Amino acid sequence: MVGEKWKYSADELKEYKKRSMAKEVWRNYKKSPSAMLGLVILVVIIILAIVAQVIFDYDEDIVQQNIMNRLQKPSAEHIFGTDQYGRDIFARILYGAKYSLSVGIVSVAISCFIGSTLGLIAGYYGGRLENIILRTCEVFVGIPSVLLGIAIMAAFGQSIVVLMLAIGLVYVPMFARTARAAVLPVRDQEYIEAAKVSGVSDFRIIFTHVLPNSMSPIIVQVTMGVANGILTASQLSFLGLGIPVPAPEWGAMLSSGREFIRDYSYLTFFPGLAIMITVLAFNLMGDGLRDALDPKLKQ
Amino acid sequence: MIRYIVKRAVMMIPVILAVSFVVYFLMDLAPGDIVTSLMPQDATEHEIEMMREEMGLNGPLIERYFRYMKNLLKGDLGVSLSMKRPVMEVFLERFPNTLKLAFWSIIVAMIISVPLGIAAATHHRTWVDGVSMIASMIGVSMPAFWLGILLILLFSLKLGWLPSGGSSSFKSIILPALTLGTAQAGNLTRITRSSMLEVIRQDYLRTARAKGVSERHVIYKHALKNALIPIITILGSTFGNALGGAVVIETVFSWPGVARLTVTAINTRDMTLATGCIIMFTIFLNLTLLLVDIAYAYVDPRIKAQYSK
Amino acid sequence: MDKRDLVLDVKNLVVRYETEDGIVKAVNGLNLQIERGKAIGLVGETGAGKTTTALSLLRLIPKPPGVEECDHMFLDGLDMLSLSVKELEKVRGKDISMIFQDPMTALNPVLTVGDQIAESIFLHEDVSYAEARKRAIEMLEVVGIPGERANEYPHQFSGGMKQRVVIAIALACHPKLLIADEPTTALDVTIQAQVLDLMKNLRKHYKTSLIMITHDLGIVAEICDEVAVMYSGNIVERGTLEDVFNKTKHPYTEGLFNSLPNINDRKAMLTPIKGLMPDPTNIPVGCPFHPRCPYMGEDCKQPQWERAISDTHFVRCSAYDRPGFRIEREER
Repeated sequence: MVGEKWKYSADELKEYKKRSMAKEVWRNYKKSPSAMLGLVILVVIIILAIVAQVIFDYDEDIVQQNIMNRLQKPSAEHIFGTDQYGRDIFARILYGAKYSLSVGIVSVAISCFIGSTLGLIAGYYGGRLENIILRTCEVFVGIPSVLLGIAIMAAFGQSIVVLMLAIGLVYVPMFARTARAAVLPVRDQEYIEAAKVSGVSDFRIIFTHVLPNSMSPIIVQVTMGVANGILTASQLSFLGLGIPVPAPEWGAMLSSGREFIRDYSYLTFFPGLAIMITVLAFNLMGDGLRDALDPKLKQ
Repeated sequence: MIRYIVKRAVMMIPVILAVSFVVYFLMDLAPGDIVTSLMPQDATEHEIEMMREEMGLNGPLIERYFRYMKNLLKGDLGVSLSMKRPVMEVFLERFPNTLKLAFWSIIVAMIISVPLGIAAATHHRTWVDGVSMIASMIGVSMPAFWLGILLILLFSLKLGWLPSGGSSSFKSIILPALTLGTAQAGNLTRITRSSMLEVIRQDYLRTARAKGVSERHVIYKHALKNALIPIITILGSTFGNALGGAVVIETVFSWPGVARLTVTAINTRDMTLATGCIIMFTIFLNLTLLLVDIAYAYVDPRIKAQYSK
Repeated sequence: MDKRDLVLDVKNLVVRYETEDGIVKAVNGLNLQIERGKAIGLVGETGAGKTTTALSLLRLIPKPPGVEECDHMFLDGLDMLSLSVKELEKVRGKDISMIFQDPMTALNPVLTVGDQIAESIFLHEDVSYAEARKRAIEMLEVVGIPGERANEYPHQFSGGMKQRVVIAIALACHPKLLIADEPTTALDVTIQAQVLDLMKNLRKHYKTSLIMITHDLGIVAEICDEVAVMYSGNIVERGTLEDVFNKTKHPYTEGLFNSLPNINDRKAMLTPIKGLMPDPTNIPVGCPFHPRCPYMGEDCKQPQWERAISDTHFVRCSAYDRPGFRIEREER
């Protein structure tokens, strides 16, 4: 039995291990109905967002005003109704999914990359470098995220790229702290010591030994981070500091529908619902992943 | 204990300096030159330069920043362009409103989340647990401004019970505080629950039961006091979140606080006002975190002991 | 009815935990009687069901997943099974109390030790809280801690001191029955002796009956009048110290003694019991010890019951129905 295993080469074995670990996580993940619900919602949202890009023409269906059709209540033709410029809210919401998703995902990719790198370095090297990185994080944590976002948007002007960068920067400290905390218990393990002694470069040690062992909390943080990023982005857009109009960003749609709240509440209701469902999907997945990645933590 | 407080306070100073520098630097980058907008259209290059000198807006960034901070200590944050009043004065006038909102929202958050979290933990893996976890998950995922608008729709427009905005009466704060509180409650519920689940397994509760303490007292006297410790530690950051969340909520409810003031300042390009507000806001937040840390040390005797020696 | 003056009389106690992974049979039809003022040692390996028995006597088995069944359970004539939750709270800490294994975790970290002792007195005696505090301080002094330390928190005490506090809590209302669950296992050897000494003296002083749960036969010899040996959720042999130590009857008890080092014959080989205690989700039919027993016979797979060797000595082993059966230890 034991001999069987030696038929694999080292690389194959690694690959085999990796796959079975992913399988194990997936097996645990599947067990949670709420986590599966999150995944299903997200897949549906992504499919709808893609379909919307294909079937709707931005100029014609999304931003073109049609005063004849303004403020139509939800009906068979316009299932979410139309806004004050006569634009179909359903189409705008579907089309707008790409803003929230891309801002959430890109900004988290930025903060995850920068933050995790800083955190890994801080945790791995320790000492002064660690101190400097942690102090810097503390400074950025000391500014409320929305205010920091506002300041960055004010400084660099409104555009989707700045928005992504702003939110990405806001969440860097969170990733740095998570990554550092994840590295700490790994840092003093003997296999790291062994790798160092045998002359493996620090870069290689971090990427082949440290990172895989501190992956779980970072993955969870990424999912939760996307949820937070989408919320923060929608807040900024709501304040008029996000993606410029007339793009159908959900927060901005909600904000512009606000003056019609008394008689046309669906103008604000549906964009808000869209934000909530999307954020909920990521949060559910994050929760499920946390349990799946670390079954010990599950109570 | 006093040594601990002093030590923490001293550690705070560089953080506050750095934080305010970051804000100052960002706001400095923002387009919109205060001097050009102050001067008449036909002012010469030289006149503008003179004015700049006079207002202390010349020189490298660092120099200007330290001048700014020196003035801040004297209580001078410059004059707001749009309001024609000293920034400090406007800030101090509005800030109590923001504090009031943040304070009540945390009270609301605690009232919702502590009982819910305890119920979830003491009824672990029953429907009570399930329902409160779903509710908290929805609370975490809901954009606060949306909730605020829906509450306005229901309580002021449809039912007419509460005002939709302003700060004219005590009733005015109910909806904003409820909104902001609910937004915080989701997270707090989850933390209360997991903290309580942790405590419930502890041996000392068995000791208490073996003493003949009633189940109610076991939970509310013996367990809760321990479970509250992590909740208090995150109360500081919750307060920070509440202050941050206030930015949007104040806008939704036309609440006359500094957060809304900041947004208005940025939208009207009144950068002196915006910078002053954000810096003061941030300094205040950090001082609050310090206070919470001290309170934490007071609640948990283990920490107190560590520093009283 | 038994004519002796019994503080505790339990008949046919069954406790099981119904979990996702199966039914854990922790206690399986246990009988236990304790005379007033006597100390009984409950001996057995980890997992034999000792702690579960103790918790069950306090009626503190968490339900779910725990399920209890019992023919009767009298605490000094009081029918413990018929008491309401409120009535049980009055009994716990007053008539019966318990000392837990790990003093490090047994005290509430955010309450002062004085308050934790006083709580017990305040709950059970008709006194003001100030009076309860005063008696708590006296109690601290009784267990050898200066009274002025009453306002300190548990983390300011060492392990041995904490266990003294736990003892003070347990004895604060002079209970009729005290259950001590391995009270010294978590302590240093030198501290162990002090704590045991303290317990011995206080027990005599307050005339408290005692159930001493332990796996240390030395402690039993030191403190107890009687011994009950537990295996896989049942008492397999019980009797006076003399009965069990010197006239050992059950093969499992014999195994326990054989796995102890012998001070007088240091070269003697230790003979550990072969195999492991059965998985409590899957206990063998008949005598649970039979798969490990050197005297195993077909009769061992039948349901077991207690046989009286003398007025005080009982053994749960069907081998004694075989004519002339003796265990090795007796032949020496």
